[in-house]
Amino acid sequence: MSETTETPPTRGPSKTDSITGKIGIGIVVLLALIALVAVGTSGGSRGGSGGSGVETLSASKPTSVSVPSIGAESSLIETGLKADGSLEVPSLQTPMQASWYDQSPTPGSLGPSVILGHVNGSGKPGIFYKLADTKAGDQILVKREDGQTAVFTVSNVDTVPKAAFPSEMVYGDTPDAQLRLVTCGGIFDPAARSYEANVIVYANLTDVRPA
Amino acid sequence: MKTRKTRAGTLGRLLVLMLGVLLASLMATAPAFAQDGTAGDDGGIPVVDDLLDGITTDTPLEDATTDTPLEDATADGGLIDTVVDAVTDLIPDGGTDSPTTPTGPSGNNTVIQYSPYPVPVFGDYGKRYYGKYWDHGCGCDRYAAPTYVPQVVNATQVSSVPKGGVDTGDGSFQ
Repeated sequence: MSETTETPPTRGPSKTDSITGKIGIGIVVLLALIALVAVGTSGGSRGGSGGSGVETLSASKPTSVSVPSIGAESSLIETGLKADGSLEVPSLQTPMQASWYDQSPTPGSLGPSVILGHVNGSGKPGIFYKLADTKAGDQILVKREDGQTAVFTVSNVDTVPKAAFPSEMVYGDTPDAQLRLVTCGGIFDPAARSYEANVIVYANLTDVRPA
Repeated sequence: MKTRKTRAGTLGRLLVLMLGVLLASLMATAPAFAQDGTAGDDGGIPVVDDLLDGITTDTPLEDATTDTPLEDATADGGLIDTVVDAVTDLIPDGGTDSPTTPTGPSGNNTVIQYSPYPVPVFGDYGKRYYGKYWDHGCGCDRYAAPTYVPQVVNATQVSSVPKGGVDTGDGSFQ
């Protein structure tokens, strides 16, 4: 009777166990390789963190901007800050004139370059009247003084209240060359003579056309 | 084995008997509590009705009202009218219910109906981007409020971070 209660002697590692272990290690290595390839080919987060493969350009002031998908094209003037710290914009008398914020990087250089344009002015549509209609994937072309054209691709279009303007996302540092197009949007408040929101287009440098 | 069975049976009967005695004693004490919640003869919870009777008999309501009649107070100097006017002035203009003035004994007795407290207005929710709203661009929720405080921005690539949003448009062309 007592013979039946005895536990059988433990077996040593068999041949099948060894093969199973090797297959498992192989699967793990394969998965790791797939993950590495996926990370390398992905575009990264919004703003394209270095996934485009385009090197940033040296500084050169922009001369014109065009957004073919909405039929917008304008030369660029330089604007800075007003006395109250807000952005200076082109005159409302010339609503088709866009401007480049001269305290931001030049388009194609490392960082977020900022270009402004009116949505309307003096009873006429502005250069960025249809900016809110742009979509991810649209192209933005910026010509520079050095003759090169920086080609940006829209990654995101956002409409945000001015009271909650995302300064960090617009002006914060970026890992590569990016572009921001900004205009007004949302509801116009007649009492304040101002729009309550801003339309912001985020784009990444995806190509450079030589002079 | 047989003796064990008989012992168990005896114990069981004893247990049933003890339970019966316990139940009987409980039922015997139940009538001590009256249906109106008063205690039995042995005291305990006082009867509320008795206490109320004592109060009403000691200081009858009729006597109290006859000592200082309402008519005299209003007829003397219109004190109530003055207070009512003062309170009426304090009611917010936004209220929809106005005080009604039925004719009382003095001919000018006012019944006050307080207007509901005016709801604070922060903006046109959903259109003016106050509160929580869905941003289709980033596919996420955003929050905005009149009390919003812009966050501090650490930027080195932009030489000088502008304040707030951008004014680009005069609304002249829609």
